[in-house]
Amino acid sequence: MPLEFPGREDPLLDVRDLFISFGDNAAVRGLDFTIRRGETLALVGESGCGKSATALSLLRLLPPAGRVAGGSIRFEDRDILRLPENEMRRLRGGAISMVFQEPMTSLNPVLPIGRQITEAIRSHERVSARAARARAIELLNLVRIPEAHRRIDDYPHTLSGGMRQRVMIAMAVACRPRLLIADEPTTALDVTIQAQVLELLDRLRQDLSMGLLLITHDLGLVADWADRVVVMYAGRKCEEAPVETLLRAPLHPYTSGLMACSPKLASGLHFRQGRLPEIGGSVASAADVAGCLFAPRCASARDACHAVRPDAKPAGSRDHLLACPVHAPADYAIACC
Amino acid sequence: MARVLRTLRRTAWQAIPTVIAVVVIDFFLLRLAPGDAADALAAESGSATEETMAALRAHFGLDQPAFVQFLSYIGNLLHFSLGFSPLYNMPVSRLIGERLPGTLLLMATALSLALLIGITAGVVMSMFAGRLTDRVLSVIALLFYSVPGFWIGLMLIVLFSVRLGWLPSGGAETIGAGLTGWPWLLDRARHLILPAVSLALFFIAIYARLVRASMLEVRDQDYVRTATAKGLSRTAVTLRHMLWNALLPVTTVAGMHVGAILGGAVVVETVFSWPGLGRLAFEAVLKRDFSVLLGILLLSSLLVIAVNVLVDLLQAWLDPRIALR
Ligand SMILES: Nc1ncnc2c1ncn2[C@@H]1O[C@H](COP(=O)(O)OP(=O)(O)OP(=O)(O)O)[C@@H](O)[C@H]1O
Ligand code: SF4
Ligand SMILES: [Mg+2]
Repeated sequence: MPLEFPGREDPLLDVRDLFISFGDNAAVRGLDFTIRRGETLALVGESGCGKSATALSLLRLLPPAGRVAGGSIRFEDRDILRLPENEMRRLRGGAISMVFQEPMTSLNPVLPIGRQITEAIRSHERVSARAARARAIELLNLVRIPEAHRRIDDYPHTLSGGMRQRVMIAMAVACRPRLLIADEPTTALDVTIQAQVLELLDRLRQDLSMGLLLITHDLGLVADWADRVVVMYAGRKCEEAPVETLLRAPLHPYTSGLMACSPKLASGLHFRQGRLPEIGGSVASAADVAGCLFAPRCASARDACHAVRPDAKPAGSRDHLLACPVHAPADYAIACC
Repeated sequence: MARVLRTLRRTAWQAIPTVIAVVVIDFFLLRLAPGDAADALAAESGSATEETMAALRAHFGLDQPAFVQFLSYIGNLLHFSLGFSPLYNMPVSRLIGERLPGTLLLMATALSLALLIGITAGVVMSMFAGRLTDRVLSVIALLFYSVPGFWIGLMLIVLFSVRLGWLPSGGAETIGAGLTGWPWLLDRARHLILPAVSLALFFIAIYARLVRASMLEVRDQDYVRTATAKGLSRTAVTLRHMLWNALLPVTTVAGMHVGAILGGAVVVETVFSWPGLGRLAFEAVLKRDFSVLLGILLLSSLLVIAVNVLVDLLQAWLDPRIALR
């Protein structure tokens, strides 16, 4: 392939043509993206579009019902989908960590938080219980838990949601991962806490020079925290661009729709009409569509859209990818053929 | 620690009405059985006359109206006395005191076996859920669950004592062997194995099935996924994160079953002529020795109450979210 994809030069993570299915239900259908060292890639899309399935597949943590049906996942020089289980285990929580969406249920209720952090450390490094504990306190300080030396023996139920998510983050960065996957890390939190947690993640990304995969359904979040954005619909990428480009000039109708739905971004787009618009229909309508998956909900859909499923191709600039021939700039066809 | 003491005190107060109800109901229920200790004595000696029987009844107060007997029994209890057994010709408390250790030993051994084997089997079954190992163990568990304890006991005797001659068929130790030290301990253990196993099998089945179900439920919890995502080994995830949480419901049921184990002990002690409370209770029923029976029933209810307190404490220890009230 003669095409130069953005970030394909020595990427940290390289996902190509990923397919994930739950039984007969395809959750992800041909997804490509890459993450470079130290950068934040936002994966955005509405509920059910396959964000969590994608994230879980990176650590091979899909529930028994789900499986990767095709494609490849490369992390550094490793082929994730072919790695033996014991090496995969070393990677989890080591080079790749994950923060989950539900801080209230993601910590074990019967173990003190310190214990849950130290066991993460000790399953990857040969350190004494004492040293691990000292490091756990450091980590709790790092994620700004007040009085860390005292709280370390507390049980999760005594902490607020925001605090628990900080503990989850401390646990995730305990072994200095090179890639951190944060699956809607703030969705379950109060708005005031959300910014703090995202700021924390961003600071840690810089300090530890981690690649960060930030998964969210709120395009408003990405403006402040992401370098690049992949917009996903029904398990496929519809648009990908550096964050400024995407927010300044979104091309795909679904991206524009998402921006209109975000209170923060909508004002800039003159969408203010007293209430936020919604994108009509639901992602379920994409289940058995032949052409563009978004066609059933797309205002500018035409006959051709129902016939051919568009792939994401460079549009306007090399690092702006778009899967919609209708809304593409003039050079679209040239770039792709 | 203060929390624990407070819990104990509260439970003690709550136990009082329960114990009173047990005494009252048991006392009058037992009166419904035909005959009394004098009849049993007479039947035993075979040569009792009307006069000797009347004298016996008068001596033990059996000729009094039920209500008067009840009042005198309560009077005894208030003086921490369980009364006197006409048949064994000794105070009930001494009689029970002699037999209690045997039963406690049997129960504790059976319960430990049941928990140890049951939990292990349950974990193994859940790890192989739906596969051959799980199926085989499930069938075995179902077998243990549905076959009565006395029959298992008899079959164990036939196999291990009669056929193979490996283990004694009854009793708690070799009478008159005059053993001491290690040989004595070994002798006791050999006598304990068969009764404890036949008592335990039913509960092994119950705990195994319970732990299996509980583990499968816990398996889908978010924190188990977190534990795996941290890079813990499968063993660490299973034992440290899943089992601990899966045991919470098991403790409740295990506590409820202590009463049932006591009931099972009656049968097993009879089959293996094990000198314990169960057999004593059985004899007391046959001989209409109500004071002994009442004593045993009272003690059993106290035992069950005590076990429930232990279960409460255990649960509070297992699950930090449970605040001791
Ligand atoms: N355990 C499962 N069994 C069956 N189907 C599942 C399962 N988990 C997810 N799916 C399906 O896979 C698709 C993608 O789900 P996924 O959880 O990845 O969505 P998501 O983008 O993370 O949504 P959300 O924003 O709600 O977290 C959904 O259509 C869902 O129906
Ligand atoms: S390809 Fe057609 S249906 Fe799909 S988004 Fe573009 S215009 Fe809409
Ligand atoms: Mg999700």
